[in-house]
Amino acid sequence: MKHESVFGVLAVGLLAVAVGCNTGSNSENGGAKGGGANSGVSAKPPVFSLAWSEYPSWSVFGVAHEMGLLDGAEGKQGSVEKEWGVDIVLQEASYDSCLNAFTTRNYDAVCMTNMDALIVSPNRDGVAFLPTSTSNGADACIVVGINNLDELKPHKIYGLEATVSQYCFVRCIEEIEKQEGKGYQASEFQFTNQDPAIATAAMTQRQETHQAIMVWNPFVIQTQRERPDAKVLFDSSKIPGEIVDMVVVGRDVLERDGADLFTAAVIDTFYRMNEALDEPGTGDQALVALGEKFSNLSLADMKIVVEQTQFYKTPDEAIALLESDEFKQTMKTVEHFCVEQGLVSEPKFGFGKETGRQLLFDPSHIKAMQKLKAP
Amino acid sequence: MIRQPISRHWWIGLGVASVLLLVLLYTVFAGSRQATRRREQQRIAIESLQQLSQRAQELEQRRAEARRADNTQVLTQIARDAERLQIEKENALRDRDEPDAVDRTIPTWSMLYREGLLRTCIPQKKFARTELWILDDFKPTLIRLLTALVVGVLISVVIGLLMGCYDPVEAWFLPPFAFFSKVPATAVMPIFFAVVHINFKMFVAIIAFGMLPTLAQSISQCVRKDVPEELVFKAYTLGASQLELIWNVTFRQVLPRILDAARLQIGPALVLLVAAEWLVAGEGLGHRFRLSYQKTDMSVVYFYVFLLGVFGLAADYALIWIRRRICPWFGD
Repeated sequence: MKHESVFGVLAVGLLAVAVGCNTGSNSENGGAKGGGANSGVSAKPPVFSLAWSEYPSWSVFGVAHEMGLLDGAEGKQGSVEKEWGVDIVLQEASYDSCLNAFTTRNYDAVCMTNMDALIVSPNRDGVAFLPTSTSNGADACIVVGINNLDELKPHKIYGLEATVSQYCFVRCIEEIEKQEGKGYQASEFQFTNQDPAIATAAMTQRQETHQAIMVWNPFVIQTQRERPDAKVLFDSSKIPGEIVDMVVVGRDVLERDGADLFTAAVIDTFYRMNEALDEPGTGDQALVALGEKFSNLSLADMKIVVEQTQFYKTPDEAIALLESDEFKQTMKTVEHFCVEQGLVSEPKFGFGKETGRQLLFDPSHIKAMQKLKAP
Repeated sequence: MIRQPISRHWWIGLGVASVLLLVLLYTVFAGSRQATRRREQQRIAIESLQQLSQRAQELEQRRAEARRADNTQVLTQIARDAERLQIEKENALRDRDEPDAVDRTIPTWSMLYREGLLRTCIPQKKFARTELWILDDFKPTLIRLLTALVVGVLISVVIGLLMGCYDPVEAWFLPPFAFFSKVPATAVMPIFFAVVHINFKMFVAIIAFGMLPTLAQSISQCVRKDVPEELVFKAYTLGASQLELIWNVTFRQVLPRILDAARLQIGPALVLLVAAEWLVAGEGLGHRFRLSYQKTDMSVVYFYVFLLGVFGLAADYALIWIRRRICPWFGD
């Protein structure tokens, strides 16, 4: 009798553990919510997730939520979502956790730059379907009490390593070297990994370790406002057009039902927000809202911010960019950098509908949205 | 002589004095921070005034040259520069004479009231939506916390009881639990982010993982130590089945200990939750802390820290009260 009951109890115990594990690892329906939701006959709209981080042309999605165009919560729809019949779950996170979460398939689409899209492409096939802006001064090296590159050498430069920040840093030094010819090399500088938000906070809090940071907007302007003695040593206006901010969706996502509606809704939202930003009345208010969650910037400052972050305001601009030879050339420069830095070994990227590529820059989604919207 | 008792008045008096000292120190510290920030603003303003006067002189020279050359284009440019210079000068003068910079790392009491209490407790209009920070921030965190506590405690109680009652179960679970209780749950977070994916279940799973090994082990210890042999034999003599024994004797006997152990897990659970939220959440306390730190806008943080302290104390007393109510045999 004793042994029987012991085994019975053991079974109960194992069951309990199984239940315990189950509460933790119901990941399948958590991660790929859309798959189940739309394959059935239920009237529930397909669910897709979009992760964004603090950046002028990406915070647009956060403001779209505030304006009611989107509703970031699962199971709720904003006006644009209703029009397209999808449910977009918005998730706001720091830039590097966006990148990590994209490769681990936490999110269906993520806002990132062309360079980071290339780096993450070996881990998850992606399609860049919407370029949002290009950095023309929006990434900058901010320093305190440092006047030139020679003086910068003994200091640590805090910024997000192996991302667009380091790219901009290295490329700017190359450009300065071309102009001045003083023998500067990027390897002479101590680029140190740190989240841009943390680096900015440290500098504005006057921590002595932080004499130089490499960050992007709104952190650039924020630092200059909070620390009047800080100044920009160099910025991405030295490499115009090389840093392109975009929205990238996983290739696996595009195979799900309703994925075309999802990309169309994201694209539609972005251009409607651009219209709202240009509107005389609400535009200024929306502009301030773009920065307000992460910084304390005034309208005048936000105007500078969007000047440094040139939005691709219309579908035509975006399509022209993705189809231009210049952009293809830019991607070659970016690829060269990434391979040289050992960030990625053999990136496979292509344009339009090329096959066998891990990362595609594809304007067809914008065109499809235009076609569907046209009466 | 140690353990010399003091009167009740002294007890209360010393307690109040320590709190008052804390408040006083905070006030002084916050005030000195503000003063330092204003002095710095003045210093920068004075420096820039010197530069400005230099630039004004240069501008005058250029103006004189341009007049001599009679170059109207340059003259209008110079006039525009002079205008801008005048604005900058006015700004610098205002900064020097009436410095208004505020330091938000250690806010003053009035800032805590305006930017901490009022801002979080008054609904804010954001275009089509209204945000009420205190609700938006505490609700997701508390739901995550409570769910995780319930799930974690339930699983720990079941496994802990069985471990305490049956040797094979203990032999089965002890090695992994002994190992995992030494692994800091914060270190395992990246695994959870990648495997469970960032969602509600992940927060629950991290917290449950953090408390399960320790809590189950301590419950099993209680079962072995706190249930007297004679009670067990008495129950068997009276004809109790195994399940009846576990439910009516063992569980009742260790219930107060379970409540105590669960109470002590609230702290670590909150630590894990806030850390995880800081890293990946798009809403909740940790998320708000991250945003506030980024903006160096700390009033909300101080206010929330205060609320968390109050919440912890309240939860503590509530659980002690519950224990006294449902386990009167255990005493205080």
